[in-house]
Amino acid sequence: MKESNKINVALIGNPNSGKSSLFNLLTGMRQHVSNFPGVTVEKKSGVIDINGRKFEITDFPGTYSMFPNSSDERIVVNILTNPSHPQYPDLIIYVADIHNLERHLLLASQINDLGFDMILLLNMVDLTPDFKSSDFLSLKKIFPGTILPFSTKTHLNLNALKEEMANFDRDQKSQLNFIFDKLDTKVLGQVSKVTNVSNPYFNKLILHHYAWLDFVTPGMNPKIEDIAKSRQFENIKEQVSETMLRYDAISPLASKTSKNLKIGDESFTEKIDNIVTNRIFGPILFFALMFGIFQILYSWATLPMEWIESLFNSLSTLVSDQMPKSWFTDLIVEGIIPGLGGIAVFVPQIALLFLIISTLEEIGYMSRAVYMFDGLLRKFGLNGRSIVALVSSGACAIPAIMSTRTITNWKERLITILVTPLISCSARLPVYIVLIGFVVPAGTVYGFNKQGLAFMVLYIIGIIAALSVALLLKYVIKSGGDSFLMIELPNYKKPIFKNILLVVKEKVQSFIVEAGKIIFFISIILWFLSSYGPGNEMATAEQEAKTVALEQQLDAKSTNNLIASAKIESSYAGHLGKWIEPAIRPLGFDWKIGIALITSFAAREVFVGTMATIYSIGSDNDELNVRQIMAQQLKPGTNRPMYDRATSMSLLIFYVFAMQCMSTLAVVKRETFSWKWPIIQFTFMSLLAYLSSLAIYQIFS
Amino acid sequence: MDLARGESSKIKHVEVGTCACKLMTLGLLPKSTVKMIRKSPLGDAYLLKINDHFIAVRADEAITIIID
Repeated sequence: MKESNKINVALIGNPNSGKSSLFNLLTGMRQHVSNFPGVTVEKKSGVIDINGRKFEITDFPGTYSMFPNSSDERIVVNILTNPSHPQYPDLIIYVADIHNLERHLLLASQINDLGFDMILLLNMVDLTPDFKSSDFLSLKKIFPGTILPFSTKTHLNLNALKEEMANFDRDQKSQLNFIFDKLDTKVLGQVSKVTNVSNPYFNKLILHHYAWLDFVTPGMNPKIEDIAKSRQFENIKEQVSETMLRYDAISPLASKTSKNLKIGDESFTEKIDNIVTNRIFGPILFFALMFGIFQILYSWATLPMEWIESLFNSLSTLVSDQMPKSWFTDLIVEGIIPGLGGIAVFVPQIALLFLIISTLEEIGYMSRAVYMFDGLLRKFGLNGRSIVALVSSGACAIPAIMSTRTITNWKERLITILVTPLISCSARLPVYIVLIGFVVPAGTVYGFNKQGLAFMVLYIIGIIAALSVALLLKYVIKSGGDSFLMIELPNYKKPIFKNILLVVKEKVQSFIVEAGKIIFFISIILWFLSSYGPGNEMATAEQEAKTVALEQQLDAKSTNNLIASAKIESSYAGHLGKWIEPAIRPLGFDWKIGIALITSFAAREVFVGTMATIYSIGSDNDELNVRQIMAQQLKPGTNRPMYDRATSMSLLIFYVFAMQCMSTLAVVKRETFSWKWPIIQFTFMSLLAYLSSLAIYQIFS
Repeated sequence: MDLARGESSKIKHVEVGTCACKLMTLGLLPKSTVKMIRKSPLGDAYLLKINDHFIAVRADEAITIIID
């Protein structure tokens, strides 16, 4: 139910028009990201107040025309042809780049013909300081509404825009002058009888897109199909013809408006592209950038993680000292605080990674990467646009998967979604960091840090796995549909940091909310499962341990550790671990690692926390960090270290390949509309992890 | 479209097909100037300059661009 006093405003325009900057300007921190109902595309909206009136502003995906090429373009067409959709706009603010007016006004002309109230913003006018308002009078011939020269940079006419919004009268309908007037009224009249909508252009769009439009009900569908067939409606031909006629109307007016503009900076862009897209140096630069990001990650990731870890450790100690001994205190100290710490520890790396990736996108580099790698990626069943997902996955697979909505071809998009999680995300980092020391000693070889190299090897393994699985899927999954590159390479521009920071904030927030929930609950559940056991097994085990400690005359510390160990073994968690132990022993794992594997299946991030819990719950190990404690562990029944090279390598490989993220599976389900694909993904990744671990352990032990 | 690196030409039209509308929205309209900037590393795609902005298309998409 739409609030009758809240006005729905849609921000619409081509990609690279400055639309998102306007959205940030209008809503600032009051924006929130969710999902368009029923679809997977992110919806950014925010409610603002102007002179006591409420406006819900929604930033629609960038679109070129009402003849969509990808799922995020379809969402725009779907909403604008569906008056009962919650985001169906009362008012449209159309953002056009004044330097590309001819192309940017195509969609505007179609929106005009649908009868929407529209405020047209001629954006980026700041590049021409003496732009005269008379220069765009000719546009008024076809766009009757308000036209404002605008600048998201200098805020030119921002107040005028708000004023227009404040004065907007939803009920006042202005006369509709069609820009595209070659409408076949006979055919469209027939369609109108089915749709019950009078606007002929609306009905023309129905005729084009009835196969997938939400507005077209199963009842309407066959009737419209009949009309199309009987009139021999040629979909593509009509689209091309309409587009050409619209440009015929727009072009002369657009060039009149733009004739006094200062030339854009395309020569600067051309010079930069001479280097960036050079046939040999281009790819080299790309890999150098990726290596640079990797270096930053490796050297800077550990520092904030350690600070946050010690912060939460001190918090734990503080609370346990202050509060009385009870199960509740234990829940807080051993369950909740580590749970929260487990989430917090990831924020610095995710923020840093998204900062870098968003900056690359903002300046315009990513479209160049798409262009350069399209050919190579196609050999693996992917699309040039998949590179964005593959790179973003180094931070977190979830937004990476959502970025695939720009890929037109369903198969290319599906393969991208399925293999992206094989790229090592930032959640795997702590696992790598903890375990690498057991495989590769510190030190350098030929000037390179040995552990750093090993680190890089793990990442490369992930990339190779992703490409290999993609190649396999290319031959297994049915092909169909058109595949495109056709991409605009915007002029390089100085990044607007406010925009980048808002993107980072949004991604970090979605990580904390989506993944954070799971991490938090798993930590609590783990605490419970390790603190309690069936019947009075734990009490018995504790007694036995005390007896053994007395017999062996152990000191207080060793006694406590023995007791802690015995209790864990007889807890629910211990039982679970022992239950799967036979299956994982050939991989070099024991039941304690088993517990970690079980908890990690919900979220990899809990691995380190689980290790800490299993090895030191109730014991006196607080001065040692997790790695030091692990180094002390022995293989059951022997004097050999638990984390020797073979087991550590096996565990590492397991974490490179295993699908251990419920949030990712949930997103895949949303994006592919069924559980079929996430189940397949989970299965092949688990198999890959198990078999690789098995092979590695058997070879190296 | 059959342009050597660095060559320019004016566009006649774009062939009717699945690429046509998208190419037009990218600026490939009759009488626009198209300049072949360079090929991609594997040679499968072209970086083109259309009037004063840049796009990238695959070779099989570029085939539908008819020039003078």
